[in-house]
This record gives sequence, structure tokens and C-alpha cells, in this order.
Amino acid sequence: MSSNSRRLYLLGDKTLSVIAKGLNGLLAAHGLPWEVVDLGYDTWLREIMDHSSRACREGDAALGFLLSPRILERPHAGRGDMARLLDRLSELAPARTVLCSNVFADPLRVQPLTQHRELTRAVAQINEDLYAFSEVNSWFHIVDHLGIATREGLRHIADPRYEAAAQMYFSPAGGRLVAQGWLRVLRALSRPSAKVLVVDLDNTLWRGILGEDGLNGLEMGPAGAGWPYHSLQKALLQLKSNGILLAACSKNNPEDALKALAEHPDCLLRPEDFAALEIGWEPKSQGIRKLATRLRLGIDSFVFLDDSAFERAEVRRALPEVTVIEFPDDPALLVTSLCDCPAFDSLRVTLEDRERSASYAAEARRDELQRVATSPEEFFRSLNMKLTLFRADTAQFERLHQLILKTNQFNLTTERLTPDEFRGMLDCQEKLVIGMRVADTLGDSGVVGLAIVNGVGSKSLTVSTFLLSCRVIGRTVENAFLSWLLSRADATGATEVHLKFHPTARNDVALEFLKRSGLRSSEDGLTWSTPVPPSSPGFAVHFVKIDDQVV
Amino acid sequence: MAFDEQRFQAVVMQSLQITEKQFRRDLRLGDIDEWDSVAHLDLVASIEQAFAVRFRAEDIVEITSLEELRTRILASQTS
Repeated sequence: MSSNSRRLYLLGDKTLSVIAKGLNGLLAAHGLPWEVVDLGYDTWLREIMDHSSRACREGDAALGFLLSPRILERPHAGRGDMARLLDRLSELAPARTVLCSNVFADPLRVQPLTQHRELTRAVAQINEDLYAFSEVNSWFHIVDHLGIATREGLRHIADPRYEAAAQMYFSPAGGRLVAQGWLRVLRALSRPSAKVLVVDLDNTLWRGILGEDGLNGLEMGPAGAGWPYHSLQKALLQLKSNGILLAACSKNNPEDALKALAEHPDCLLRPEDFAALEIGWEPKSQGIRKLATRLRLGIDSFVFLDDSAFERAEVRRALPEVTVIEFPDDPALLVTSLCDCPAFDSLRVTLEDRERSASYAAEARRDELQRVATSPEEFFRSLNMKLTLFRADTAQFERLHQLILKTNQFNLTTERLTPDEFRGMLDCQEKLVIGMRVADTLGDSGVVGLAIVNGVGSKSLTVSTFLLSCRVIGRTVENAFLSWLLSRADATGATEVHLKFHPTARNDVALEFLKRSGLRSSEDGLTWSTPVPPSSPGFAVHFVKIDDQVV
Repeated sequence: MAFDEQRFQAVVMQSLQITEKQFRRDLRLGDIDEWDSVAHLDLVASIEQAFAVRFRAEDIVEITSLEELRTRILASQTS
């Protein structure tokens, strides 16, 4: 196991060794930096209540509670034990990364007809407690055992023979499915989710070929042959409301495709639901490249859905960074294929996620303003940009941490802090964590920038993280952010500021910024420094109004 | 029905994640590191699936050798 891997202690009420082994195999196969350690049979309460146990002592290890329906057979249907567990987890400071399964009922017991009500209620109560707890504790993540049991069926995942033989609730086959569920949560904890879904139109978004069948020949209604496409469109709207951008890339006449999207009576997705469209006759890989440029997003945050094996192969070959969804043989399984693709998994949906599509629509209007403006200055002035700087706190924790995980391009160091590491910095006297919001006449872009300043109180400040979401770069916001940072350093008695830089395959734009900034580079190029107040003029800030809320 | 030894060997090798070299017809639980009590449960389940047999719960723990596995598979196929 690599030295960079994080440990996850697995605790439960039954034997977990088979699942732990399977999960370690899956993690290795997917190159995920986690090592699962099984803490043994029925250890979930014992380990966590004993302050000297491994699980409590080793604060940097994550904890995973993998529970079976057998906990419902404890007094008060297990609810008291669960409450004790959650209380104890709140106490364990600093807060740990914790994964916990939700519960489902195992109705395979005597008197099923009279007991189901009681059991179902107990399950609903425990799960409600878990969801409420996870909503206020961003370090607590739920693994959806209930969903797995519902999809796969109890007889398929549990087997009393293995429980009799080895105290395993989940059969070896069931354990594999459970391990897959845990894998997806651990994956989402370690990897940023994809940002854009690019869909083809003909025989993907609707049944039929626009160029041959005409607008009226296309089927995508809620009944009949259009149903699979109707369901897919509903699923896409759901993705969109969770912050995934939709884009279309199709070989068609642009006017015809736009007309079909705008006017077909059964089409749920309208042109304004798409952040961008690439309709034409170029290779799809070209189209996706153009979409990436227009949306200012990295190619590796794109997912591609297309019914044509030829197009999928062309994109796979030309753009190996793109996640290509395997199109099902039967379109009725389209939504299933989409759900099986882990690329969009994310554990939290922030306010910014929900508003992302609207924000991209505003961006399109900004592009239009820029196009008609006679000079860049006139354009920037017309935007009336306002930058709000604030001290990061727990209220903005999720969004700020998401920026740390997701920002690739304008990111000086791309240091992917874990939630625990980042949380530790918020209360640290020696550090200042600054968040930045940007708004202009066309809309509020939300929290889009972050800087972490080290050495607060001393003469020499070091900035270890300085990043901006790609949505706002190129509008002089980055210049204003740095200028503000340098004047604050000056005002608080520092005499020099150092910005750390770490080159990656993706952050050229950050390096270009440093080169323009007037800061001096160290010989290895990894530190960019300036005395404060700066000796060289640096950036002049004309177009941005600054609202300084950092106290 | 003839016993499909080739299939049997493939399932054992795949489940225990061992090479042809490590495979022996007379392997017993514990003979090699790869066949420990955890791998054992997965092996039994893989055999059940591949040969469409269902062992009794007590057999799952009592079977401790490939020879016993073969005997149980044959018994279930002829019954």
C-alpha cells in the first residue's frame, strides 16, 4: 500500500473481513489512495466508546460504520445505540472523516405480516437521524445500503447460510455489491466530480434521426417508443439541477437541431438548458474541445454520451481524458447506464452547484457584452464588478473545500487538502483563510476564490493556496484579489509576501498571471515574492469595487 | 456427469488469486497464504455459483480441502 494512502477503519456489528478484502481489491484496481482495515467482528460500539481504542486514538484515520439490519434486533430497535454512536462521534475532536451505512429492514423473520410496520418505522427513524446528522456535519457521509438492498434485493445480498457459518450478514456476492457502494463514496471523497455531460442528439436524446425523419418523426414522449428518451431527458434535468452542465454535440444542421430542441412538443430539454451547443459536421472530439474552451473547463471534467460506437471510439482515441459512457444495447437502460457511471458522484451539493447553470447563462451574456464592447476597458467597466472578501468560516466550508478539490487551472499550488486538514486551518492563529465572492450586473457568481496565508503576525507572509474558479478569470478579478492581499499584508505590518507555485499539466494560466504580476520568481520558479508595499507598480485596479469584510 | 476439473481449477485460481504454479490438486485451507479463512468464504461462494450447487451452512466451514470440494460438487450433481 502506498505511503500516501489514507486509512479507513471498518467497524460493524457482523463479520466484515470478506467485504474489507474485496473493498481493498477494488480500491487498488481503481487507483484510489485508501487502505481499509477491518477492526473485527461486532466492534462498532466497543471501539468507539473506549477512548484508548485504535479507532479513537488514531485521529487521522477515517472511520467506516458498516452496519447490518441485525442492529434493529437490539433493544429499542437499535435507535438508542445509534444515538450513542452519533453523540460519541460529535465528541471526537477534531472532527473525523466518517462514513456510515444507512439501514434497511430484513423482513425475513417470523410473523412478517404483523411486524413490518414496526420495523419499517424503526428503519425510517434511524435513517432520518442519520440524514439530519450528516446535514449539520460535513465530515459525516452516508453509504446507501438501503439503496443497494432495494436495487439488488435482499435474497441476493444476504444469505443465512453464511451468517450461520461465519457471522457474515452479507453473502460473498452481496458483500461485493456493498463494497461497490463504499467504493463510490470513497472515490467521491478523493476525486472531483465531472462537471459537464456532453450528449449527442439523434438516437441519444430522442429516438430517430432529425435529418431523415424530420422534426415530427422524432420520438421522446412519456409513452410508447419515446419513453427511454423521455426518462433520459428527465435524468439530465436532474443532473442539471445538481450543478452538472449539459452540452450537446451533434452532427446536424445547427438551425434544424436548435428548432427541434426549441419546438418539439415532447422535448423536455430546451436550448436554454444547455450551457453550450456544438452542432455541425466536425469530429466530435473537435466539438468537445471547443466546448471546453467556451466553458473554460478542463477536458477531464467532461463526460460523453453517444449511441454511435464510432463516435465513442473517436472521442476515446482523441481525448482519453474524457469519460465515455458505454451506451446500453437497449435504450430502455439509458438511465441505468447513467446511474452506473460514478463520474458525477459527489457527496454534497452546494448552493453554487445548484446555481451553476444560471451562472453559465450569465457568462454567455458577458461574452456577448464583450463582443460588442469597443475596448476591454469599456467591457470591464460595464460589468460593475464587486468583489467581497471574507474570513473563511464553517458556514462556507463546503464550497471552499470544493474549490480546493476542483480548481485545476487558476490554482497556484493545486494542494488538495483533505477536509480535516482544511478545517484545522480555519481556527489556526497563524493562518488566514480568505474566501472571495464575485458579483456583477449580470449575476452573482458566488464564492469563487480562496487564499490561504501563512505566518500571520510575522513580517513574512507565505501564500500556500491562491485559486480562482475558471468562471471568473480574465476579468481582472485575479489582479484585484492579489492587490488586496498585498495591501492587507502591508496594513498588518508584514514586509514581504511569498506566493508558492507548483506547476501542473493544467495551471499554465496561473503561471502567466504570476509573470504579469510584478512578483520576482525564485530560481526554481516555485516561490514568487514581493516586498510590501510593492516596489514595482503591480496591478492597478480600476474596474472592481472591493467590499472588505475580513476583520 | 463427468467432473469438469479444468473449470474447477480456473475457479479456484481466480478466487484465491493464485497462479497455475501455486495450484495443486490436493491443496488444503491454510496450505498457502492466499487460502485463509477470509478467502475460503469467497472460494466456497465462487464454487457454488460456477457449479450451481448450494452447500449446507455447516459444510461451508467443514470443507477444508479441494478434494472435499470436488466430492461435495459430485454428490450434488448426481443426486
